[in-house]
Amino acid sequence: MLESLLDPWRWERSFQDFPDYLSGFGMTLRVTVVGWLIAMAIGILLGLISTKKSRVLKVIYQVYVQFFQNTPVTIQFFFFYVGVPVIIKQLFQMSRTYRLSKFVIGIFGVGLYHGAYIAEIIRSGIQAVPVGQREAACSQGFTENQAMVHIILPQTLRMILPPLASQTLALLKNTSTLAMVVGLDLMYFADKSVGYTGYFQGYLIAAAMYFAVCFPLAILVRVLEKNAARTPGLSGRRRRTAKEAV
Amino acid sequence: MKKRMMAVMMAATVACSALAGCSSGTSGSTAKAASGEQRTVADIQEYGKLKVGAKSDTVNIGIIDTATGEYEGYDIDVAYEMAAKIFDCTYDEAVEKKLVEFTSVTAKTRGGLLDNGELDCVIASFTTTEERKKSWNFTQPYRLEPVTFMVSKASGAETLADMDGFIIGVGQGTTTAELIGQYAKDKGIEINYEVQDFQYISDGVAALKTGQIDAYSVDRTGLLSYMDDTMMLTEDAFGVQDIGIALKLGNDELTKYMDDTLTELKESGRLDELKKKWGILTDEEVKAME
Repeated sequence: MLESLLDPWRWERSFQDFPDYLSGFGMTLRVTVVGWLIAMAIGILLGLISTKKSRVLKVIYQVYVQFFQNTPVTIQFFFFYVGVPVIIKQLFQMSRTYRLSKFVIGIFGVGLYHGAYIAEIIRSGIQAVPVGQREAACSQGFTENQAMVHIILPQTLRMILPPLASQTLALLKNTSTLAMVVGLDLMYFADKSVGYTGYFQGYLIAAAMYFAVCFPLAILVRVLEKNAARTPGLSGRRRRTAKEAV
Repeated sequence: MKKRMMAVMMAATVACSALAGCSSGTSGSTAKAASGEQRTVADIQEYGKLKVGAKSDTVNIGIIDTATGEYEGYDIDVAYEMAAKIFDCTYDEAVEKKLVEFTSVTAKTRGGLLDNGELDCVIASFTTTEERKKSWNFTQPYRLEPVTFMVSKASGAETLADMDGFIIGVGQGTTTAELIGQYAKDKGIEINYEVQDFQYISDGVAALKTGQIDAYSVDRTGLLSYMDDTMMLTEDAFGVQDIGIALKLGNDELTKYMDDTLTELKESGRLDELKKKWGILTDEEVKAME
């Protein structure tokens, strides 16, 4: 086994498919960037909705988040791959099945899925800011929305940055599931190459490429975590006021 | 800093041993298999079973009968014939005594399982190519397969020449994509098409039937089992592939043994008999098609 892993010919042959890997890598990065933007838009929208008092909005929020958090992203990809085209065909009475491009399947697949996670991060971030902050702002004449923008969100932001970065990392890795619906992404081409040659090396090449972009993100998560811990935390501020009171 | 370096090095060591460990531990049957070494005919006789990698998803070639849980198909029968020869019994006895230990393989797993000695041989539509001969031993072909296309009748395509702008699905790990290119070149067909790889023939056919792709191309026998009223095979028959038994590189003794057995089976007409049984084209029929 180790012998075949070190076999120079197998490495050479695997690298012959490298142009494929690069094109797949491009797809993976494009899907990651645009998918992330969609996820952020959904996450912010839903996160803000979750703080509203309206019961209807709360139900919408819960249904969305629970649905996407509790079903695998793989099934969601298949839904876009097989299900959506059939719906479009029926809806518009088309004679031929409408095909969504792999890019579109990818961005909506990871976008909607991670949108649910990001919404939860933003919701918990907002709720972590003590109610007193909002009350104090309102007593100073801020409106509900002004208090959110000027007082609550800046504090939320610092807390949610680390989990947001790790969601980005998870999103990037989850794009590899796209390979299951012929996603033309890095994983698909790695799978294709290994399938043809039977040489495990192809997976190692793909792993190195994923690692090259994921590792810096992981470092970023750690830096942000450290930063969030270093800035005077809310609990610290509370302790000080408690002391002053004594 | 030193601590961190240590941690990285330890992680690397664990990863390396995990990779190397794939061959050992999991098999545990005989010492030879566990150490990733090839088995001789005598070893197999002593162990009592021939270990074969087989297809489990292709009707008439190699598929698991869901009712009985047993493998069946042409490639499976060839495996039993090999076992019958090794254990010096008849085909029926080999089937009855289950002298073959089947492992389901895909294009991605078959090579590795041979490399680490988990399998004695792979009899699973493994096309022999010059490139692959660098990594594994192959016997002479036990089956010849022309490639063709499955399209929906509604598409109106009768040959490759009608497939301009088509997305053509092929099996992952197959040589089909190159064969199509060669065929188009030989026939002087100038069309644009896109190729997409599918891991299982069932995935590809499902994509074809739901309209995600326009044609699916694989060996003729594989396609036949997925036919229905809305689908048809085109008139194309090309890229006849030699499908041989694959063995670990350097296991020349067992390779020669199996090769000789195939020669015997061919000369006695037994191989053609099995092909008829499973509706597979005989070598003569394939040659006539080309």
